[in-house]
Amino acid sequence: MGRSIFCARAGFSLRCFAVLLACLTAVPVLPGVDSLVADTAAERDNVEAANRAVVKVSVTYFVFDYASPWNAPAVRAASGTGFIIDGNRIITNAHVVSSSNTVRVQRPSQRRDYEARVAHVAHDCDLAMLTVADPDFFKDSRPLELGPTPPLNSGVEVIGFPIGGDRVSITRGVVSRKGMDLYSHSRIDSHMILQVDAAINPGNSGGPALQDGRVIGVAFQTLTQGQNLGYLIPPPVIERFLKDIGDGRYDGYIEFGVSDFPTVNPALRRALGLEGQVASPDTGVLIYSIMPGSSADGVLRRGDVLLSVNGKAISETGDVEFEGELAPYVELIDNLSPDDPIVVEVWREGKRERIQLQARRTTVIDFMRKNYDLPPEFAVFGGLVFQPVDADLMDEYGEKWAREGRSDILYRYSYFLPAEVWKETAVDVALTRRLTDGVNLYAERFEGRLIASVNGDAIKGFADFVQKFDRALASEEFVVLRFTGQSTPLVLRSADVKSARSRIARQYGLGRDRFLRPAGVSRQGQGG
Amino acid sequence: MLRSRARFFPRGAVLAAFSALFLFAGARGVLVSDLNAQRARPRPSPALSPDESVRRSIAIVRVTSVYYNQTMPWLKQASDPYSVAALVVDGKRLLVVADHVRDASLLEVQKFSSYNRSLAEVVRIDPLAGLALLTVKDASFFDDLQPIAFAPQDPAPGASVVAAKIDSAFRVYRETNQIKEVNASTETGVVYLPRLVFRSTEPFNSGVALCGVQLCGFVAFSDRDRRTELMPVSTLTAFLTRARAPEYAGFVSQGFTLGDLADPVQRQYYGAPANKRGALVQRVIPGTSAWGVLQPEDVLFSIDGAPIDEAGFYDDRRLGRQQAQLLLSLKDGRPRAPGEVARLEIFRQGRAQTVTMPLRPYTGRGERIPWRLDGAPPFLVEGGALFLEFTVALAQQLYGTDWDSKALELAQLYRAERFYESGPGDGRIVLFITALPDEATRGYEGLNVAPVIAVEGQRVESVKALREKLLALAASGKKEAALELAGRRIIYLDLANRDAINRRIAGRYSIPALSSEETPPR
Repeated sequence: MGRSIFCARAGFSLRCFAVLLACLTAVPVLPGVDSLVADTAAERDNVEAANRAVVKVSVTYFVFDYASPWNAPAVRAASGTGFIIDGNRIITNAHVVSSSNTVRVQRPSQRRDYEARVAHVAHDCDLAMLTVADPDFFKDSRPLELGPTPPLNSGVEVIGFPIGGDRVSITRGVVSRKGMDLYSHSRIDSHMILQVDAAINPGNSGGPALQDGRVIGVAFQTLTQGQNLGYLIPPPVIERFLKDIGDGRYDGYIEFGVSDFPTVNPALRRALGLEGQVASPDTGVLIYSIMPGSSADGVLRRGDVLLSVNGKAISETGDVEFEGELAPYVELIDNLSPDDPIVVEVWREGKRERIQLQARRTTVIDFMRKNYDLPPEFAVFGGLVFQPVDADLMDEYGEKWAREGRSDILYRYSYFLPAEVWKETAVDVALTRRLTDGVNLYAERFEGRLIASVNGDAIKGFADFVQKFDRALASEEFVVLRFTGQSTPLVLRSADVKSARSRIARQYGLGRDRFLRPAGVSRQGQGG
Repeated sequence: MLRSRARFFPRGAVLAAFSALFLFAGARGVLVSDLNAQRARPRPSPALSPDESVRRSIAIVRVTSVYYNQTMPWLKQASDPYSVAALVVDGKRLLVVADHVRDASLLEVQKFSSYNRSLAEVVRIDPLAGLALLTVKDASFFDDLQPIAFAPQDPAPGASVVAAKIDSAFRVYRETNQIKEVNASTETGVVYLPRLVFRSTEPFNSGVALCGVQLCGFVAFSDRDRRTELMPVSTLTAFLTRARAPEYAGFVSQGFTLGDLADPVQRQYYGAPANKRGALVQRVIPGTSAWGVLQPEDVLFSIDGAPIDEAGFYDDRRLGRQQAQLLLSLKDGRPRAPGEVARLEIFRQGRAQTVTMPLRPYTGRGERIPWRLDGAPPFLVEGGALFLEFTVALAQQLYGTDWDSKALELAQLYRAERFYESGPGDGRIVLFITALPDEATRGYEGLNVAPVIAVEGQRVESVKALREKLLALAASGKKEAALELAGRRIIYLDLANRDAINRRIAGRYSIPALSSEETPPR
C-alpha cells in the first residue's frame, strides 16, 4: 500500500499502519461571503447554504499515555468543521470530537461560541452528532439536506475552516473516484468513500461538501502522499449513521465476515463443479474463512462459493453491479443494520442454495480499533505493567517491537483471524514494563512477553487475565506466569506482590493500579 | 540466535576478502621465541627460519563455488574464484575451514615454491566442527612442504600468539596479538566448541596462530572490526585424528540451552535446595546428546562434578568462566569423543538425581527448518506453481537478512517449528512460493510464499512427498488437487492437463527439469 492518508483535525495527526489520515478543521465565514465569486445560481446556493449551516468546532481533548497508562491524560486543543441538519443537530467527524474534554461551536455570523455536547459518536465511520442546548445558537440557521451520491466528474464545493483559520473557506473540485476504502480513524473499517480533487486540509474535517446546495459528502481525510486527493464520507454512510442513532443509541456497523478467493482459476472452477453449471463470469468467490460472531458465522461454510448477495450476481473477482457501476459485493450490505436480512446464494456440494442470514455485529476485532473516550486498559501487579495488545499499544510499541525482532507479537496481532488466535484469547496481554521494586528484580527478561497462562490456566483476554491473577493472589502461595514461546515461567510470591502494592503506588505515583473497560462498551462508537 | 549466524550466510564478506590479492597481509612482526617450543619441534633439520616454516606449512586453495539460486533452484550461479589458506598436515593432507569449501565445484592448490596449480578434493568435511580435509591429486605436491608442529595445548585467555598469514606471493605477514577471550561457540546450538578471539591490526580472514613456533590456532573467520575467531589446536588435532580413522566419529553434541535461575522465588518454586546453585534447562534439541536425558525445566547442578552457577556457567581452571556446555565438549583441554559418558546432577520435579549422558555426535535430524541445505535445494514446479522447502537461506533470499521482521508468517513458523518437538525427524515445511504467470495459474497472481498445510487433506512434509502425492492423485484419475495453504486458503492444481501445462511452463520459463527429482533431458 505505502499510501498515507491523514485525518483533518488541526493539530491532530494519526499514525496508521498503511494509511495515515489527516483530519480537517475550519473557521467561520464572515458576513462578506457574498463577495465570493458565485457564477451560477447553484453555486450561490452553496455559498448561502455554507453561510447558514456551517459550524466551526473547537475542542479540547485528552491524549492518553499508553506507555504510562496510570497517568492523567494530557489536554490538547484542535478545531474542525461541522454543519447543521434538521432537528438542530450538528454533524461532524468522530475524530474531531473523540476523547473530547470540551466542545464549543460557532457559526460564521456569530460573535461568540456555544457549548456543545457530543450526543453520538461513530468511530467506525468517523461521524459524530453534536447538540447545543442554547437555542440562540441556531437562530437564522438553515439546516442542510442530504443529496444523492454524486456522479463521477460532477462538481463539488468543500466548505470548512482549514489550517486553523477563522474565516470560512470554500474549495472546489470534482468527484474523481468512488469505491470502498479505509476509514483511518478507527484503523480497520472500510466503507464507501468519495475521492475529490478539491483542496482539503487539516481543519476541514467534518465540513460539508455541497452540490446544488445539498450535502453530498463530509470531508474527513486526505492522502498525504499524493496531490489534491481529498476524501469524503458519502451520503449512504451518513444516512446509515442517522438511521442507526434513530433509536437513541449508536450500535455500529455489521460485519458480513467472510474471507474469500476469486474463482478465476480454471482448475479451481472445475474442482468446485462450477464449470458448465454457473455461467462465467459470475462464478462468485470461494469462501475460505469465516469471522466468528459475524453475519456469516454458523450459516455460511468454508468451501461455499458465494454466487449472489441480495439478488446481485457476484463476478469471479467479487464484483457486483451497483447503481450502474461495479463495486465489491460487500458494499451492497455494508449499510445494513443488525438483524436486517441478507439473502445469499451459494454453490454448495454441487448445488445452488438460497440462504437467508441476519446482519450481525461482531466484537472479535474490536481491539484492533483505536480506543477513544476511555482511558487505556492496564493492570499493575508487583510493579509489573500488563496491557492488552490492542491498536493503541501497537502504536506505542509496534515500531520498537519490529526493531527488536519481536515478530511473535506482531504475528499474533496481524494474523489474529487467519491464524485463529481468537480461539485462544480475545486479545493478547503483554508484560510491557517493570516499575522496579524488590518484588520484581528478576523479572527483567520477561518484559515485552505475552502471557500464556496464570497458574496453569490459559488466559482468554485482558479482563480474564486480571481476574485469574487476582484469584491466584488471593488463594495461592505463588503466582506462576507462563509466556508464549518461553519454557521458563515467572514466579512471584503472592504475599510479596500484595505487600508491594502500596509501596509501588507511592514510589511511582500511581493514582490507580488498574483500569478495565466496562463490559459491553464497543470501540465502534457510542452515545445516547 | 536468529541473527548471530547471519555472518556465515551469505558469504559476501568472506568472498570479497579473499578475492583481494593480499591473502595473508603482513608486516614483519617479532616472533616470540619459546625455548620449550623450540625443543619440541619434531623436525629440527634443516633449521627453517620462522617465516620459512610458515611458508612451507601453508598452501593456497583457489575455490570456485557454484551456488544454487535458492528461489529458482534449477539455476546455478558460479562465484568468482576466491583464495583461502590451507594448513599442510601430516599424511599429505590439507586442512581448511569447512565453510570455505562447502559449495566448491573446483579446488586448485598452490604452494610457495611454484606457480603451478594442482587439483584438490574434499575427503572429509564436518560443517559443525567447521573443518574440512583435502587431498591433492598430484602426490608430489607435498614434497617440499612441511607440516608445522602443533602445540600440546590451547592458549589460555591472555596468552600472546603470533597471527600469521601469507599473500598470494607467499610473503609472510605476522603480528603479535593477545587472546582476549575464549568462548564456547556454536552455529546451530547443537555442537559447542571453544573459539579463541583476538583483535588484529590487519584483517585476518584466514591464517594461523603460533605459540612460539608451534601452531596453536587456525583462523575460522574475521569480522569487519577485525575481531578474529580461531579454532584452537585441540579442535584441529581431534578432527585430524578422527578424520584418519576408517569411520569418522565426529564431534560430540550438547544440544541444550540454559536459562538464568538466580531468582530466589523461582528457586523456591522449583524446590531447588538452598545449598546448591545451578541453572534451568530451557530447550533440548532432538538428536543430540541431551535429547532424552535432559528436559526443559530441569535444574542442572553439575556436570562431571563441576558445579554450574545460576546463569549456566562454570569456572574452568584454564579458560576461566565458561558456558556449562563446554564441560560436555572438552575434558582436560581436549575435545570429548563420542562414546564418552558424562554424569549430570539435576533436580527434576522436586527430586535430586544423577543422570548419565552418553555423548554422541549430532544426527542432523533435530531441525525441521535448517539454516541451509547442502547441494541442490529440492523443488517442484507443478501446474505452474513453484514449491520449495523452508530454509533460512531461502527466506533470506526472498526477504533479505532481516526476513524475520518482514515475513511475519515465516518468522513465526521458524520460531515455532524450527526444531522437532517429539524427536528427531526428516520432515520439512513445504512452501508455495509463487505461481508462474500462465493460463493454468490465472487467479493465483496474488498468492505469494505461503506454507502448504495439506494436499487433499493430508500433510506433506517434503517437496518429494508433495510430488509423489500429486503423481498418485493424477494416476488415480483425479482431475484437480486441493492444496490448503496457511491462513486456510485453498487452491486447486490442474491434474487432468498436467502434462500439457508442465510442458508449456517448462518451455516458457526454460526450466530444464520441473522437479529436483527428475534429471534434465539430454
